[in-house]
Amino acid sequence: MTTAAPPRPTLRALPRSRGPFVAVWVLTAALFAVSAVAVPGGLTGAALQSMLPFAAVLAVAAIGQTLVIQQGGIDLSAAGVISLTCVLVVQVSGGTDGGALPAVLVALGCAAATGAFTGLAVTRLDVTPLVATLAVNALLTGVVLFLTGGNMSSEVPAALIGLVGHRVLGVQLVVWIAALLVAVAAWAIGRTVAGRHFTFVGAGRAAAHTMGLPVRRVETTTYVLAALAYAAAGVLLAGFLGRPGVYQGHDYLLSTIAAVAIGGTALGGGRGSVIASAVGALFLTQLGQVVLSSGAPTAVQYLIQAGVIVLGIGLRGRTGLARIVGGRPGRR
Amino acid sequence: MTGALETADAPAVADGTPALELRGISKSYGAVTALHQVDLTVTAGEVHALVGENGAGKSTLIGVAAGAVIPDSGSVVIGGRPLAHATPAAAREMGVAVVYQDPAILDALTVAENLLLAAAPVHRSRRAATREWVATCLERVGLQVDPRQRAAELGPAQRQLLEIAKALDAEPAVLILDEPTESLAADDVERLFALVRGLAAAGTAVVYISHRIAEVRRIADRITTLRDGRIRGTSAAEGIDDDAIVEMIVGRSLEAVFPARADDIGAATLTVTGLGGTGFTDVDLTVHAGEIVGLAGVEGNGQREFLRALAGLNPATTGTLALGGTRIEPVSAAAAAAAGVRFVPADRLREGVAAALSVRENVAIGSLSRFATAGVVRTSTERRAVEREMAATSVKAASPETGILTLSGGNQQKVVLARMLLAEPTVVLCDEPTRGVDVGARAEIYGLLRGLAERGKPVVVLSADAAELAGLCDRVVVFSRGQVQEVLSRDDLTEDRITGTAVRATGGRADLPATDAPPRERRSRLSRADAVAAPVLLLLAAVLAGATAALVPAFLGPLNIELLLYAVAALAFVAVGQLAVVLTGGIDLAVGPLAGLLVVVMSFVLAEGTDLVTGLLVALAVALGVGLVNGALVAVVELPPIVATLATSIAAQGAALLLRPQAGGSIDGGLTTAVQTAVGGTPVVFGVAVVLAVGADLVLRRTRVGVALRAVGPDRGAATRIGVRARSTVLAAYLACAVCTLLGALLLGAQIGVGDPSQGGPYTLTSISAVIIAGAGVRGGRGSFVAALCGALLLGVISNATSFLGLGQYWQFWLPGAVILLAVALSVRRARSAH
Repeated sequence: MTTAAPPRPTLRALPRSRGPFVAVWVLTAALFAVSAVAVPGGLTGAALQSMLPFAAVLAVAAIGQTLVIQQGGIDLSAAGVISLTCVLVVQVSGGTDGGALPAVLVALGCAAATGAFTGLAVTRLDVTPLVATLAVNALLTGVVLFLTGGNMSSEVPAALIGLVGHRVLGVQLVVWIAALLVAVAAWAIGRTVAGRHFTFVGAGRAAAHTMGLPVRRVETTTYVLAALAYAAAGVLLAGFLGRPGVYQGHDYLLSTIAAVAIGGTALGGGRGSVIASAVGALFLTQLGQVVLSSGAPTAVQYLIQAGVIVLGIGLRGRTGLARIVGGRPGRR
Repeated sequence: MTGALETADAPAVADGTPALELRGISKSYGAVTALHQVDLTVTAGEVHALVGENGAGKSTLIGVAAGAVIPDSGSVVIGGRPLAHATPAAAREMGVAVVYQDPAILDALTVAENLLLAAAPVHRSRRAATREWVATCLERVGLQVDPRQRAAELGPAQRQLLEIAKALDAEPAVLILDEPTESLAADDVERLFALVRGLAAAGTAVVYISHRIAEVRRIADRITTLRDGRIRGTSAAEGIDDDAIVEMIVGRSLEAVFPARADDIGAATLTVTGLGGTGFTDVDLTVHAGEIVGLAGVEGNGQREFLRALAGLNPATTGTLALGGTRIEPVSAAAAAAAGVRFVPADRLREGVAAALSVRENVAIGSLSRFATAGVVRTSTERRAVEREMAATSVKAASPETGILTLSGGNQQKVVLARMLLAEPTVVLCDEPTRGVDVGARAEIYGLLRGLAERGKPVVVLSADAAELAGLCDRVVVFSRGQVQEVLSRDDLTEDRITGTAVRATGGRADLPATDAPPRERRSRLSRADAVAAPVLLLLAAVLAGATAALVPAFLGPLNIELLLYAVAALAFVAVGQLAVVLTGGIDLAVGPLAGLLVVVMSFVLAEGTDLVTGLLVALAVALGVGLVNGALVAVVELPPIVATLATSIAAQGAALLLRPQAGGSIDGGLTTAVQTAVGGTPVVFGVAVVLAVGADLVLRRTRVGVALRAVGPDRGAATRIGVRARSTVLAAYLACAVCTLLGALLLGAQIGVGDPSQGGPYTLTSISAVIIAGAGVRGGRGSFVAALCGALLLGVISNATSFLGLGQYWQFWLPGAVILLAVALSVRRARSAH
């Protein structure tokens, strides 16, 4: 008889569902410990305050990438949406405070429309997510060029800059907003009926369809929400930078994927965690900061980032870093 | 190899000669004893059945005989010679062939290619897949299909026969069949039996593993029973009855497995009138309270379509459905669920559970709104309810948070049933409720279904196992040609009557096509040709070029043509490399940064006055190094390709910046001139790119290496089982990609002349674009290098034409984006409309 082993109550201490997402916390804690020891001034308030806003923006964008990856997709259009949002915030507002709110709303609206377009291409036309988002990214890059001709005509409204940079308890509002967005997303996914349906569709599409869950609607909504997350990241980024470049989102094409992968959400679908992705974003940003502040050129920063991504993800899958820190066996 | 052939070619070995002997085999996994002192002798020319429950040790025993499992003690003797170093290859060479229950058939390949890939070396060495050899292989098993057909289009029975054809090619002395009839229709079973008898008559020793006792008694000469890793007895098949075999298998009698039937049947609850739809017509059926109704029939006669119609998964087009007098209309799975219809699917892992989630999440998913206030789930209520249902269905799991995949098949099925119970169903529909479930859990599942019926729920069960239907159901409806053939109840309700009615109904239809292949895997003949995109892309490029030239004649001037083809060649090299990786189901995000790095490297080692050969070798070494890292991370460390190549792309950027923080240095003018040589207005390198693409396509279509490349993408597990060296193949693809990128980088470097680290980047996205508009499947297995070249050509023409026409630069993004979406959407549409 192939009955399961007798219950081992100790396993309840750490539900299996958290297993893959534990490693990123350990890695990040270790990184901060190293920063404190090895880099002079690595953990001063000033250092943190220059790092956290970037981590915050990446964390918000990574919410969107996590949602898509959890549904078995991959989103290469994050860069395009963030760039377009920065452009719209500047161009629509014309740099005036009165234009700030309309500009943000227009940017969010455009993002939602973009997400709906991608979602419909994926669900109705059966275009693979990689391909659909690659094409959408190209279209968005075209729009950015079309709107700007390669140069921004003005700046981000001062009101938005002031708001995003406003300090609460010594930390810029951009960081608080990001933390709030991540927390709300995590709560909604874990605790609401819609979120649970979202999780189930991502982990078992065919089973969800067989049960009568609205698979296509869930998937289309995923791309809309993801695009909104990128747009939110774009607004925060624009407000934080003040003078965003035309292709300001470019770096987010790969870094959102890296943050999600480091966080532990499985590429190809299954279980995901926006909180783990946010910690992944924090990790990647702090890593960049540490390398830069140690005086190494950008080149070295790239090399170290690459090595850490490989180690961070490779160790988890293979030698069971997760097992050591999480007390649970690996996936296989 | 020759040894095996001699054994097989020898005149039928005298009866009683042992072909396979297992002597005193013991095997433990940790504290679990899988096999204990097992002795088994299979003689040449006999069909020897091995029966036992799941977990009785059958799989381990097969593994030992096939050389895949090394026993702790004991020996394996094949044809009188001991299997000294147990490996699958060694056992195969000595003449043991295994047909596993789950056929290792690669969907992306054609029937002929599947045969070729698994072929014995003696057949492999001949010119690839000669037509006669393929025909012989197929004829041997009576499989009538077009060898050029993709395996994805085969039905389960055809796949099983193809798997057997692969095994027989090695002319094995011992053939092991593991549950070969699990997916076969009754008439296919007959064909298989005839084949097995023929093989045995020719002197092959056949080991036949099955849990279908009636079948085993018909085909086997001797029957050996295995329970808890020990042999419980071997007896001649003649003269032993079913009950005796069952008692040996389970250690208790058959009656104990099934719950008692209902004493009295209540009023009608579910009424189906004149229901018709895809696969079935005009079905009337009434299910009464307290009753379990079975659906039977030869596979593909509409019973499954009917059941799925009730579940809203194959919506009916005519007829009505009433539940307790109220009409319900399951026009979709959602509508059926809303009416309380709950369906337990046959394909549990795909349609039944979400594999990555916990038991709790899988049980609660159907009833979440009941535990929710304003859309927010109350977790404590949920957990209590889940624990209650787990207890009711006796799911054996450490906790509700246990991952569903760690459970045995039977417990997984009980989780699906627990979900159904929790959702308080009004109608219960089960498709093969005990597939892959051991006898103990089976009895529990029967009890649960009977309990539901006793509570007045209409229960409908579809099963291919006539004994199961006879034991469990109150009435059984036998389907034929999509209609109800007969309804059996009371004294007529026996295993023999069910099988008899089903088989007789379809007598004379031996060619019955297997129809339960999932439609998503069907592909049209048109889309079968991977290179189909090439002419379309060429045409598009020609139209665009013509239109541009009509407006700006200089576009087709010799100067621009040469520039255009040069740029196309550079992209084509990279795209060819990218496709090699995409075929393996991967993607290489590092090609762009690698090209940039290589240009920087060239500005050092191929500068003025350096040795050309040394310089090229250094550049090649750098490219191979990056390719090796990519390949190793994907094939050995098993990182997802996106992550692995993302990391190397960042590293390559870093390395390039480290070498040249700013653009600088220069690349040898002589080399530049040589690379840019043109003959008759056409750059030589463009010709090289065309030759490379054509050659690569020939390798892909005609050689075993090419077949292996297409095989590893979609189904690496199956490819590995066949003997494809998946790791080496994937590694080779990334290396090839890096070398192709070097070719592209040589062209790029020769053109810009300086070591600029920022160059090259765009190649990542454009090469992926070229590959995708060329119709390559991103899951691997499908693609054409020539089409990828045409894709590069179209992208090159778009880019060049927009600047010639003075269109805004943004068109350089809009046009490729639109082309990608259109190309993919159209090819999907075409594949869909074809079936």
